[in-house]
Amino acid sequence: MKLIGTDKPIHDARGKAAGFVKYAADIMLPNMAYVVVVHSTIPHGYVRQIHAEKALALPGVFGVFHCFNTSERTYSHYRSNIAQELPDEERAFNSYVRYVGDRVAAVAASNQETAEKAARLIEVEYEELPFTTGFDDTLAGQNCLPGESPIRDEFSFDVGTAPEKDGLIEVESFTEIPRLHHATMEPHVCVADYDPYQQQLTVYSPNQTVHGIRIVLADFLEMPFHRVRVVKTTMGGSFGGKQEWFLEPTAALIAKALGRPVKLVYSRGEAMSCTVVRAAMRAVVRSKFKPDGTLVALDMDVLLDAGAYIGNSCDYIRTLSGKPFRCYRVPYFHYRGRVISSNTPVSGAFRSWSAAEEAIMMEHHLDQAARRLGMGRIALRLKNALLPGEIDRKSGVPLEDIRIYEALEQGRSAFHWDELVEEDRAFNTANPRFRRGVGVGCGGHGNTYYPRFNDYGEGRLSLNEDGTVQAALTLHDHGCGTVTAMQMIIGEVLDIPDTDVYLPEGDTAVTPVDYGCFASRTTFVLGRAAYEAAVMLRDEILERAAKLFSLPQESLYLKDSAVRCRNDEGVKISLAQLSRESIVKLKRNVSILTQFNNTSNPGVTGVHFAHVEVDTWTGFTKILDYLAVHDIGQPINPAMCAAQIQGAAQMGCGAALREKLTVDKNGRCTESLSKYHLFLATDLPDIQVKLLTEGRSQEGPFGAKSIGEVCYVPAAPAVCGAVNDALGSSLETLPYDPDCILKYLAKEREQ
Amino acid sequence: MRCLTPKTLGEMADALSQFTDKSKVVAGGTDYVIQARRGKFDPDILLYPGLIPELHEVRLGERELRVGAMATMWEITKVLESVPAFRAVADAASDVGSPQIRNKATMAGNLCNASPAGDMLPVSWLYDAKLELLCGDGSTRLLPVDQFILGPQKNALEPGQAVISVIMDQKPFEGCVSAFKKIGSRERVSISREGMAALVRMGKDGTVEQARFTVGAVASTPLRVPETEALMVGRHLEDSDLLSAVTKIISQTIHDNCRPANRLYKTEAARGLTADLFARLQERI
Repeated sequence: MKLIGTDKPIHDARGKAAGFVKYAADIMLPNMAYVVVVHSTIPHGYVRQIHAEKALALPGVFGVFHCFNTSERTYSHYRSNIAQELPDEERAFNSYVRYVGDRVAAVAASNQETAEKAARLIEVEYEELPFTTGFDDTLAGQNCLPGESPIRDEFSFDVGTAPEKDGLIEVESFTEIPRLHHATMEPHVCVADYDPYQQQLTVYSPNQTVHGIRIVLADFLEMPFHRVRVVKTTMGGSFGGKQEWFLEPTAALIAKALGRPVKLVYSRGEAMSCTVVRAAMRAVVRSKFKPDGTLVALDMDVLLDAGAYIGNSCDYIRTLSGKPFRCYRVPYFHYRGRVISSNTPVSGAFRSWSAAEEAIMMEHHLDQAARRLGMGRIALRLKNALLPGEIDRKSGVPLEDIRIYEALEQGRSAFHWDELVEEDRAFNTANPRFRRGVGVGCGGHGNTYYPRFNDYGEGRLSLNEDGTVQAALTLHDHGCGTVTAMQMIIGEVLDIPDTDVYLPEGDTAVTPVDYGCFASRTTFVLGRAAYEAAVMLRDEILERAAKLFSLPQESLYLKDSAVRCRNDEGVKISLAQLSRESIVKLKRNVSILTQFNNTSNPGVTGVHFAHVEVDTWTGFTKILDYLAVHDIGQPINPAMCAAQIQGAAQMGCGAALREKLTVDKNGRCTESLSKYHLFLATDLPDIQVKLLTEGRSQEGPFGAKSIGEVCYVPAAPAVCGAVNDALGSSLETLPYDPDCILKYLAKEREQ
Repeated sequence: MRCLTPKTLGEMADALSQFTDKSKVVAGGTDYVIQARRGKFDPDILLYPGLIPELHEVRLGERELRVGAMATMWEITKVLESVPAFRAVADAASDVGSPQIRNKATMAGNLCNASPAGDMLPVSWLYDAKLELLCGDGSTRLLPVDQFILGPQKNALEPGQAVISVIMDQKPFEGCVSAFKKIGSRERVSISREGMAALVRMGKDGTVEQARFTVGAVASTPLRVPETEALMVGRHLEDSDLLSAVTKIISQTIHDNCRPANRLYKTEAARGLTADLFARLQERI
């Protein structure tokens, strides 16, 4: 293969590095208004009055919008496709506010400064209600309105039958994880433009599904779909943070009301407190093992705090329940998931959609089980890791050539796990201050919505008059190389340079209806649709060439942007020539449309290894070595796969050791990166990456499997395991920040 | 808002004479811009003294070290990292924020902002630094740092006054070595949760002749710890009993002065930070 498996920079890397690429916040339209949102300053209550006079008196203010002068129509910020049955929970501006950050009003003005100034002049009168910020007060129902139950959703199920056998070893563990912020470099932005004469709305935003937003906007504004155009702009990171809609309905509503374009740019503080966060969760995990380490039964009881709005929580808590089956052999599984709703920032999607949270719970549990069983942590995982040919016992889908076992074995030797264990023992004996340890984390994920939804992809390709290719697939590149990967797939099939393929990203006016970038489905589903489209275009080209040049079609093939003939080396019809001849002589463009729907979802897994040093005098943990081994089938662009994995390791280290979005006693959450401590490049060693490429998928393009989310799953568990190994602890609450570690050590010293 | 950019100290005094209580001076802007964006200020006059050449100087004279109000953290680091007596200032300046911040932020601005977590506070206390203020009538006056910083985000500047330099005497610190070390949320690009500065003069017999010790980011202003200083005199720095005794006093001082929410961490972490500070001092003797 010429392109697949080679290292390519992403399509807009140079423009980004040079500062040339335009993001949504860079869009300037004539007569544009700047919108600033006023957020609730109380965690729970009713808006009784809004005084906008002072704001309206400011020169340059076009209007103030709030719950008393805008539509009472509600929408679901989580709606992203046509098949979902969801409650519509919120308005553009809410009169019943549920957290500090809820939208209560907005100002539109001629410039950002005026809009900000006016927003500060708006006075809101509230009637306050009791509120909660934690698990215990929320479970106790302290914020419930009359008739409300603290448990907003409960879900339980079993897989297999409970074991009766005696002589099993029982293990129980507890894990608590905090809220997380996605920390994308670009905050949330929306530009909305409305043409009152054609009743046409156009919305630009960095998002994961243009068609999902169209559904919400069309319904919310009571407009037909064809009058709503949503364009995905260059995205400065999402990690799930830009798949739920907080800005778009508000901006669109104001644009329509004013009949002029508006721009709404959230600050970092707003991105942290007024969009979505990863939910805080508590989990009790119980298991039964045979003495040899074989897992016999697993029981997970998960409590999720949705925050102020239920949003995706009911789906999230269900999705989590399927994750153990993507990695381990679980003969009997019992699950209970419950959702509560405190007056805190709204929970939502986060990279891996619950798989990383499940892995933190599960891997922590397995580390404790290994201690109880007197087994090595890797040996215990090998004992229970799924093998090629096994199925996902919850969904019944074959896992195909899953290579988690091999990843564990290869990683163990490449990381020098056994040697490190010995070295650390000697180091810890000799050192009064620093303690070292190693950790391992396993994780599995999917590649598509299937079998939850019937997944599909559509692609259109056409040949331009100069032989270059125009494509229409609904892509939402997060900055991770989606566009480049598709160019490579199409280029490979047609034997043309990847840069000869032009691919616009998601735009409801241009690209076909699609679910969007969810479930790590892009490469697997849309990549295969791109592949199918390219094959179809190739056949079309060869058929036209046969007709136009009276050549036997079965002897024709494509090479270096030309049609060649196996029987006659002299034949060389360039794609440009073919395109022109087809237009002029056959009166037809060379173009195709194809649809593909997959019926598989193979196992895609990764194992991460971390070696850490904990400073027991300051509580700081340093990552000394890190290795990520990933079972990904055929990598399309290996350098970008490695980069995704390295980025995921950085995020996972943060989740394990530092990051938490806290909410104070007044319900106000962390609103600045000065108080939300991300892992920096200077904190990390070189992240080693090893790609296992033999476990090809049956349906992915060229045997590819997913990478974007699965690589985040094992990261935090590996680091947490290493800290617990170093300290001989089993810390239950993440993150293992310096405070947590010194508190633990002080307590140990007292006992 | 009027923006004034004087090119001489005389012009700056003229500018200051027009000040009201809403007027502001901006140096590096690393604190000002953040707060201005939150709508905290609405100045009628914004004065930028960056065009006055002498304010950029870090000058080590015979009698005193003079750090101009526009000297950036980077410039301060470059001059003082090779001066043992004032190395603590370089340590502190070299670890403020990110490289971008250090190329804009100033020591004078850090002191004016008067954040309890400001890294230039404990080192200013260490040397009994004085701030030189320029008034609207062109006169100057000196104010000791502990009279300049009155509390969190509170300084003693009156409308129409601006800091033009930070001054530290040379004489009392001749032959000293010094160090500063902090703990933040991470190794780099971090705001101090606890900072310590120390300076020592070693006698011929290898024991401490004179010592000073300050702790920052614990109370609203830095703490001098005289008990520690007294304890160190006459002892070898590598004496592990000394380190334990110092740690004990420092931990107690922190325990008594810091907010309850941080007490456990800051008291415990004092052990590691004190040990690291001693190690730095020893390397420099």
